[in-house]
Amino acid sequence: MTDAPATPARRYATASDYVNLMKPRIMMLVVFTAAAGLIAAASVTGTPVNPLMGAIALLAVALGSGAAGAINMWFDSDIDAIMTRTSTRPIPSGAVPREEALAMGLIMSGVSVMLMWLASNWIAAALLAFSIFYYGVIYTMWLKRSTPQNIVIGGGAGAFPPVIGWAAVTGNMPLDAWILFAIIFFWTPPHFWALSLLAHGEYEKAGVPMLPVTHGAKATRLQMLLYTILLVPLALTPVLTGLGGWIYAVTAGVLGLVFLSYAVRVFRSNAGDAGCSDAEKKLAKSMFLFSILYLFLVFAAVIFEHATGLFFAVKGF
Amino acid sequence: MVDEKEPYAGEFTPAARLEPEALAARNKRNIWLGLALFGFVVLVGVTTVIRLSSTDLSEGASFYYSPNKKARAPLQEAPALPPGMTEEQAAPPAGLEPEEAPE
Repeated sequence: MTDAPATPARRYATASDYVNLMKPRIMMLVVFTAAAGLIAAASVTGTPVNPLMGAIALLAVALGSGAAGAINMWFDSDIDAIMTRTSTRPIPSGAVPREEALAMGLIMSGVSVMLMWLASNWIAAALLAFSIFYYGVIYTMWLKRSTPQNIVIGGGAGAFPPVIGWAAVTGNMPLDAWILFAIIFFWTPPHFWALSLLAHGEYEKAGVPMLPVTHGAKATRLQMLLYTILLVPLALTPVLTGLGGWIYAVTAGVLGLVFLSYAVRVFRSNAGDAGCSDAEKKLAKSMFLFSILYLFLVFAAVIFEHATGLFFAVKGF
Repeated sequence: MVDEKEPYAGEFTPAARLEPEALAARNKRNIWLGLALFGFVVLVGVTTVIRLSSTDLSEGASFYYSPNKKARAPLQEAPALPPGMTEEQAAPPAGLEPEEAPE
């Protein structure tokens, strides 16, 4: 860890501080992708799911995500205090003591894994435990401060939820579940680097070796483009395996082209370079925001097709 | 000279007293913590009930453990009767007691 900053002024924590400790926005996306895996598994395999048990399994995923977020904030509180974007988080703002965040993370990890086991099976529970470990230890404590590929490898942690959702229903992890994993895995680098292009000065100040800090903005923009080129056709593979129908194919195809156009425009811009224009900064930010919408709509298409039964298989597949 | 009303005055540090705001924040947190624990207990209860309701609790399924009960093979369905035999013909004679299994 870097040198700890001065102890912040203590203020009294509210319930919302503890909610913020769980990174609620990430949690929403995690639960949504887990729900996609769960619903698709039930539909594809024809396995009946008790709705209450399904809801409890998703709650376990939410708690697991929150636990990993709390552990991340506990470990990263020193660099969070340095960066403006994260300085208002519960620990650097003085609302929640570090030890409380760690205790909360550890207790919630145990609770979430146990709930998942009760509501589904040990495979889903073990996967949830591993994904918390992956984010809390492998990414946060090891990769984040040691390699510019931190978010590429660390992206695996955020890609597990659909596999967990699938395993909660069937007790196994077939190819379809891993395709959903791969979509999130290859989506993470262009998504996160679009943000870090704008905030690389802060990462540099905090000593975090993000790609724009170590290799510069141009190399980052190229990597973003390459990952997007891989992602767009990959997002169409569910059509080949029968997981996605026409609605999914059109959604993933059209959104993929828009995502690719963003990546090309950002690649051709000077976003992240010293002295880049406001329009170029805005373009990188637009790509970051669109990437969230992209993932949301792609997984929404999976949920829609399998939850409503409006699945129209693409002929020939 | 020892004060009879407060014989230990000055010997102990006064107990820490929280400010009203800190006390109110702590009480609020305690309520949330209590609700979270209650929710957890409810969830464990609900999952247990759902799991039990879909579990075979019949004696033959050996779900419950009893120290007096010897391990037994799960109940098997009676084989189909040979063609032409009625169920009455296949039934054991009235008053026949089952033999004790050899030790």
